[in-house]
Amino acid sequence: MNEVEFCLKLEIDAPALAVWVEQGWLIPDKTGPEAQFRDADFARGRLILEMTRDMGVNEAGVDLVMELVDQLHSLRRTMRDLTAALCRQDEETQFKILRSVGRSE
Amino acid sequence: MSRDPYYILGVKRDATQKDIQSAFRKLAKKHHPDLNPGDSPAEERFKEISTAYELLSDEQKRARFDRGEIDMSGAEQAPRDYYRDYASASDPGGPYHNSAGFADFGETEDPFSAFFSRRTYDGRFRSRGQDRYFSMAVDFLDAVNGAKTQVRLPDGTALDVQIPVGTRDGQTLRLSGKGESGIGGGAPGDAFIEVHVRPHRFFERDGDDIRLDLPISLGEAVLGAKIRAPTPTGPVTLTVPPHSNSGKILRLKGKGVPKQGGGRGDLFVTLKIVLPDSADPRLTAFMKEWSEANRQDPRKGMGIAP
Repeated sequence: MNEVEFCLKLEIDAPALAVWVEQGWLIPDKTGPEAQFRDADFARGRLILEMTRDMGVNEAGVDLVMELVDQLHSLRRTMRDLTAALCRQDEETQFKILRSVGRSE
Repeated sequence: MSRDPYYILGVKRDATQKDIQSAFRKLAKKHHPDLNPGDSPAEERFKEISTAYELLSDEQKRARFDRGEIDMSGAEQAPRDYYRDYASASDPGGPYHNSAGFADFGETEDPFSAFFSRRTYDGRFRSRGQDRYFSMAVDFLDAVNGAKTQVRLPDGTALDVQIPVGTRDGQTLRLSGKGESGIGGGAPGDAFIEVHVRPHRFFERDGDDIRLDLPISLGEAVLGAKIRAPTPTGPVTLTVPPHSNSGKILRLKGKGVPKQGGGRGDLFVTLKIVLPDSADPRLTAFMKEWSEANRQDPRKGMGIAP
């Protein structure tokens, strides 16, 4: 969706969206003639709106939260990859790894 | 049971709008699914909190609820997506990927640093080689005294292995860098070798000590003797005191297994009296005469009648 569709759907005004993009909280796809927002951007926008409108988080707070949310998801992704890799090992190797992180026995 | 928005937000029925808002903010920060990406039930809790807040933050709706005209189902919200459902946007290569959480991992020498700090799947990924696991059997004395040996790998090559002195049965040796080679210039993995120690004909391991059953003749037991006894480092002369019983244990200090921190365990020798191979009429005659003069009951104290 483009900027106008995004604002209509989320019921916000264009200057608010401009701030979000400028702050780097949203990174639309700018490869085409006009910026395109993905479903992920919209879901992100809703989180930003709920924080600012309903939860009393100010701009600096949103900045901090979005940074940490992105770090958290990247960490979770890596953790999932690691766990999947661990699950692909044979039982002996899994046991050795678990034992050395102190989760087993 | 009908749901009570006051109970859900944890506020009294006469709470002010300000109380309601601050209760909602506290709960929303705690339960918002996007601020709790790993917590699935957070979605249901957040929906309850939002529904309760929507009802109570609107004075008209709140008044109608208080009069019993509407319940919480009137304020029900449609199912929706959260950002966490699109979190693949945070994958390497995605617009919101942020590997700052691994910045400190990347500075270390550990083999996972490349994995954690990678930014994209751009083919420049370096990976340490896989570890390899083998097992091998070694002779008892090689394990006690240490030895150089070779392990033959499934691919036909041989790997030199130094068996450290005092190696225990089941111990795993690590050969650094002898595993599979790395990917993209990464370091090779390690080889891990589990050692099985073959049992010895007469030595038996007991921690850092060794036990040995040593046969002696009747004459050596009665009269005492200097005899030769095997130890892991070669035979030594051992003094059997006169009148030594079968089962008597002699300790040879420092003739056991080398300890990790220096020094050695001991060798415990258990004497075992062995009669001559065939019966000797003179010994039999002597024993008959001797036994009649020396009544002895070695089983007294076991509570059985003679």
